[in-house]
Amino acid sequence: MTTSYQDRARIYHEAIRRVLLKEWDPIGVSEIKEAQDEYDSYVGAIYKMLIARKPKTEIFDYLWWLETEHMGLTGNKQATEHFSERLAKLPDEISDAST
Amino acid sequence: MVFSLLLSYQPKVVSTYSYGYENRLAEGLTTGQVLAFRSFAVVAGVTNIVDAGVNIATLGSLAAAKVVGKEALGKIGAGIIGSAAEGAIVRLTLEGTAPSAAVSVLRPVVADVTVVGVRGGAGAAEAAGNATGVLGRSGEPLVNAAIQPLRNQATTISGRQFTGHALDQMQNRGFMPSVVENTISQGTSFPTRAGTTGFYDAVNNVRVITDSASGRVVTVIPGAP
Repeated sequence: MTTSYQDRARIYHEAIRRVLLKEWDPIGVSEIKEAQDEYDSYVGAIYKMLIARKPKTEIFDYLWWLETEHMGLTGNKQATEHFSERLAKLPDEISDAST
Repeated sequence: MVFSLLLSYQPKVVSTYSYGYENRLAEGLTTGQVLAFRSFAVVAGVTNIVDAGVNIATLGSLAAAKVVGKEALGKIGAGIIGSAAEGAIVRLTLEGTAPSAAVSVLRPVVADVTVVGVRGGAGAAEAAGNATGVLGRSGEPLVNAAIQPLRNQATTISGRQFTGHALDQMQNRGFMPSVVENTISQGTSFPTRAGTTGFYDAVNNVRVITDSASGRVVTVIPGAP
């Protein structure tokens, strides 16, 4: 039982880590090999949101805060909204992939 | 009175980046990894000193530091001159004698240095070569635990704005604000995403990315572009 939860968490974390770096990447560091862990500290919070099936608006709010406040970037609202929708669908993608 | 005082680790100070110590050691620094300095001097501000010194003990198998001189500075403190090889992990302790209990530890200050930098945190883990504690180091970055809240908030250090993300990564990757400032002021620019500006310092081999509009430091990444 424990293993299945651990496996699920691992799969989610890997997927979230990948999309944060390759699809979100607000700083633009995805091609820098020394920065492959640039957004790792945000994986846990997003994982909890996805597991709790938080609405995409809440996911957006968190991402937007990260971009504009925590990272101090100007931000691209449209891109962030689009990525929030992408993230909100991730549990379904993972579920489909495992069946 | 005989005293032996380990300069205690104060996470609040370190986490707000008082550890930019090319010209002064961070208050409370006890253990750090020597990056590139060859010799250094430390003055610990201690009153009522008869004889005192700041000792250096090497930890683990990376024993490469030694004391080459020590002097008591009377009432103004204790000094030490030492040397250490790049990569050495050193622990600084203050010990000596005082005529009364009125020993007032102010802070360790590097008085005359060729220090390039010291990375590392306090604790035995550093002795074992693990990057735990408060700072990562080159090749051994700290990794945020999945459940760990974000550590830093945006702040201004010596007139330079640092975002919380930048401070987190500086801690993870072991870079000091002074290195970042030097990179921005002396480094060469390199292309980055629109809205950001990249700076590279070949000496420290570090990249700094800032928000172009505000000048805020967004992140710090080791290596060349």
